[in-house]
Amino acid sequence: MTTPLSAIGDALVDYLSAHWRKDITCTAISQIPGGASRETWRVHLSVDGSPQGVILRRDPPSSLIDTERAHEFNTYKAVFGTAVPVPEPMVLEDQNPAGLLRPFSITREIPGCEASPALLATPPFVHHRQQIGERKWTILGQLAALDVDSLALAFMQRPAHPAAHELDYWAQVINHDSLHPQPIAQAAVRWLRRNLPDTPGKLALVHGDFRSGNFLFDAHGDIHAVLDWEMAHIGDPLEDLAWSFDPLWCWPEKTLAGYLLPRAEALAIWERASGLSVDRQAFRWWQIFASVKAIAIWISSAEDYVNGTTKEPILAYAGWPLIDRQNRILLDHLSPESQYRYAEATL
Amino acid sequence: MIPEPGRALTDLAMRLLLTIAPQTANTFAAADSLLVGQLMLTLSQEFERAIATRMQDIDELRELLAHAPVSHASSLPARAQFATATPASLHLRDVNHLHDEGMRLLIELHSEVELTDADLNLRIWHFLRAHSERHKFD
Repeated sequence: MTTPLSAIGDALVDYLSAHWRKDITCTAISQIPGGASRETWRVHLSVDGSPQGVILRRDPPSSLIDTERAHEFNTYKAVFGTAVPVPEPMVLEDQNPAGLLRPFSITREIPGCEASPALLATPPFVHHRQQIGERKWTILGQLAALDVDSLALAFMQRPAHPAAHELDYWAQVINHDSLHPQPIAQAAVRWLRRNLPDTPGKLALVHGDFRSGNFLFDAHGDIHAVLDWEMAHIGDPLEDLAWSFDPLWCWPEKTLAGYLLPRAEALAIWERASGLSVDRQAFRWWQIFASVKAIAIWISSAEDYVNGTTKEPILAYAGWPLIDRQNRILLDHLSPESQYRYAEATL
Repeated sequence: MIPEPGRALTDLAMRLLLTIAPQTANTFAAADSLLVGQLMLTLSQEFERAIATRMQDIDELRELLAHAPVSHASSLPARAQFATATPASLHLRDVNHLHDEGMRLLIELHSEVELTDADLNLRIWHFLRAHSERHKFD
């Protein structure tokens, strides 16, 4: 049973009135679809008579991604004001959510933007795909270029070997959450263990889910914010680039990464913006890892749907079509006689 | 009784996708309806083929495991049992149980031979490709 919108609006107004000590009313509220790891609402408030748009994100009983609620908010705080645009973080409440019942965070609304990748194939956005793509991989390169020591990221681990660290985590998710044996994912995990790349020359803040769908773009081709930092961590900058290239994020399109640019062009943009050059052997490892991490998330979602407390359709969707597609992508990467049906043979 | 539930499920999904969702004023509810409709189409496909695809997997797994060299056979008793086992019934739960056992044996065999037996490794990848094609959703 979902909570009525009016009850969410009332609970938010009660909370903010007490904490901001201002005269606050809710003028409009709507739930934003597509939030796989948080319940998300767009709320328009009147604060002492002035309009204020905010985005409210609340932990659901279970989600696609099991994360700590403060993690995303504190990453927003660390990144806000750098070259990488993020929404302004305003409130984190993970102790006493009062009428909102579960931990939540609030960021300032960025009006006039879209996030849905499906829109990138429709006017007016389709006419700006080149520009959006250039901006997308420039931002990702700028993220890779940030000095992690200058950011307030003390709450994040610094793994001695990022690739091994990430692989251990996601392999454990596959082993723990699989509802039935996964021979393709297990073969991929074994390949990754045998072919670990060297530690990177530079550690970077890794977004962890940088793809079309997780940034706000406008009708003029600009990107105003990168969203959904739940899986952010310190690691190898190639991880985000490889994730952004996964064929799932442009399914069933083959040649345009994230429905935007050819992969080779996106890679060149990233290299220019980051000042780093891509080691192709290490990058192949991270591309295969990206598909393993993705299938781990879908496997975990299916387990959540079957055994968890919520029956969100997105969890079930992950458990059927997404596992199927990710298996086919992994076959493309690893089969000795691959026909490379979903991405280029080499990059 | 409607003899083909999968077809009925497709019809119901189309009703949800083409009639109900477009008339849903609430954006969140409309998006939810579209997702549920797509899932119903997926389930319709799976409903029709679930037993057939798993039984074909089981047959091919038996063939693969039966011809695996003995030197790789660390689980010979389990393989022998799988070679002759039949599902307790044709209910999905029972077919899944035997299918899972075959897949566990396949993972074990693959990890044993992938670096030492190129021919068998290739045959396993061929099976995985065929398995993936059988189970894919349109």
